[in-house]
Amino acid sequence: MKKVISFFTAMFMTSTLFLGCGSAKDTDVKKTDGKKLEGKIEFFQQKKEAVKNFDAIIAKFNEEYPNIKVEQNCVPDAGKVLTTRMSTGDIPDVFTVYPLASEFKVQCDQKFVMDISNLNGVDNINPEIKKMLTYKDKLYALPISLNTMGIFYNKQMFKELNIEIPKTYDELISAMKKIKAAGKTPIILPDKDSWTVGQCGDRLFGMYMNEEMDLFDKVGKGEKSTADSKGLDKLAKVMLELREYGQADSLGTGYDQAISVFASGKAAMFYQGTWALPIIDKAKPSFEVGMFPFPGDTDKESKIGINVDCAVSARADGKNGELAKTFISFLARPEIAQMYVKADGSPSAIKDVKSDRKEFEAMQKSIAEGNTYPIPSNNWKPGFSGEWKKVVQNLIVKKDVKAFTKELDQVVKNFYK
Amino acid sequence: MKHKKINYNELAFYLFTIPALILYTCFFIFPVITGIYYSMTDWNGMNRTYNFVGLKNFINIFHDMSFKNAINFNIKYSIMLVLGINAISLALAMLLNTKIKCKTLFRSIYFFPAVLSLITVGLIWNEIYYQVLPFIGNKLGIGFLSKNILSSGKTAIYGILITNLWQGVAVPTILFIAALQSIPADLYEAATLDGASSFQQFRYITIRFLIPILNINFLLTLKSGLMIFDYIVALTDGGPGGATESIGILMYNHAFGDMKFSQSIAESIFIFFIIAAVSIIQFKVQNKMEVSD
Repeated sequence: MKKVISFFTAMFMTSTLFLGCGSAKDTDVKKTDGKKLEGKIEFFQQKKEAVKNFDAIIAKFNEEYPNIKVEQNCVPDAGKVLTTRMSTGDIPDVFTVYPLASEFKVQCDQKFVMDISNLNGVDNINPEIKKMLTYKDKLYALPISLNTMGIFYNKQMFKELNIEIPKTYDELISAMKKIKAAGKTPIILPDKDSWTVGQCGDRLFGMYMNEEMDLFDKVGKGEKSTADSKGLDKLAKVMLELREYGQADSLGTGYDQAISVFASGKAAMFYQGTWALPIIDKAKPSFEVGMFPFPGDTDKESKIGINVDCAVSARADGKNGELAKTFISFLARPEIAQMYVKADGSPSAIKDVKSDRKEFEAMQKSIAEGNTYPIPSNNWKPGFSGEWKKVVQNLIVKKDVKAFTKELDQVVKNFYK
Repeated sequence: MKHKKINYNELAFYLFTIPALILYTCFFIFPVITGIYYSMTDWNGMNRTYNFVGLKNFINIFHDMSFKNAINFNIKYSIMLVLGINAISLALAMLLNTKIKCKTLFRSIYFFPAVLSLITVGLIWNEIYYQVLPFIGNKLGIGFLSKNILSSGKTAIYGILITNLWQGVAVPTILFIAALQSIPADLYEAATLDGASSFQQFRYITIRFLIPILNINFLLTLKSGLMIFDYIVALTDGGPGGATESIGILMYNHAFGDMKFSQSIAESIFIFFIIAAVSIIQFKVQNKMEVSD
């Protein structure tokens, strides 16, 4: 008897292994008479800061479409999770993307992403932004908000020291000298985190390398060397000159630590992206925060790089396609876009929608005047940004421009071959 | 009749192994085989199609400077980690095994770091390196301590090592204490009567009995040294300028960031062979030294 029991126990244990493997079938779109849609979609959302914001938007969506259930899903390290899910075929119905990144273009080429060129509501997109996003004559993502990098500054400290907002690079240097003379840290630099160091280098690349945007392609083919590039030389020198006015041991300060130093009023400036504002807000600075574009050699050359911060795409194979399209065109409505930027503070990608945060007034002005440049890393070979940030951080470690261009030359040749 | 009964019994035993066998095959053997296949393709982790390229990825990794740096880092780190953890935890275990006051309290104090999550440990040590140590270094006028030790490529490895040791000695210490308690006391008694010095007692009795545990601790720390990933992510993320990039970090970045998926699998297979070789040698050597029952 005992043996019979043990035999069946073993069989039972084996069979239970497979219980979890069966998959329940999702109820797909049911079109009832009229325009009422019904079903459930997964919304894979990559931005931690925007979860609450989207919860509110989904609640509003459900007032109009009570039968469509939108499940927001936000996981850590979301970009890598999304890549893995795509390559295994488990693509979310709707997901947020960074649509200008070169990795996203690979996803479009591999037909993971729905073409939404003819979707209801895409005409609401700011035409400039729409042009930027159009890839091979098609639109794959609905942009909602933009980001840009600039210099956060402590308005109160600028006033006390009688410093005007620098319009040229020389003015920036003399402003920093003045702050240093007053015994304060002119600029806080989070050099320990290579991602943000790489971003700074990327934006300066956009400012100084206007005519050499294809430099890496040429280096890869062996037609050019990075050592010959004047723009790159300038970029490296500016990076190093800023470090002369930064805090001591900048490589020891991380992103979060830099924000807390800036928000506590110990440093006058902080070169960072608009995305840092919600975190600065959280630290409750006792002074007013503003942001100005990184100044060029002349006032006219002070341009800013524009990237799309939040954009929404859908899976290509048409499963739950109607529901996804309904949700995305809902997000394209001006009043919903307004709702998003009101909470987020970033500039909107939808026509005639304005963010009312006054921290970014100067940046909004630059965007309106068209003083912008495209982000260089978006046109690099997919995956190159990872190598780039390492090389730029090494520039700050070694403080040697020649070693920097030499190392970059090797890395580019290896990656672009 | 008897014969049949035994078979029936055996069958049940075999069936009991099936769940584990299936799990092991599905989640270990099968991925290893597909991994070997993928390492010979040019798949980038995303594309729907890929080509067979033979051993190209394996040749590539030997031309990759960052792979060489990562190997160097791993070897240096593993040696320091193995020596550090085993020496410190053995010393701690011997101390905590003597008749001192508040023995249990000290044991729990030394075990405490092991229960903290890695995120917490990373935050704690990042702040210590950022604020506390430079403050002390400045007051005492010690040059290399007056800035964050994670900010220089030369000292960052020690920053990671110290954090790893702080958390890593706890479990080996417990294992050593358990092993020390299992050594028969009469052996020491006999040794004392024969006039053996305390070093001789340590050399010929304690170490001999500790060899199985030493073996396990050695292997576990060696493995964690060669696979080091989590502490680096929590503290430096491979920086500054790639100075603390271990093979684990390099593989992760290649696979998920740089779109070189197949190359990263080739790297991991290469590491697999190194670890396997070291483990075999280590087992062979230590088996010879063990006390036989």
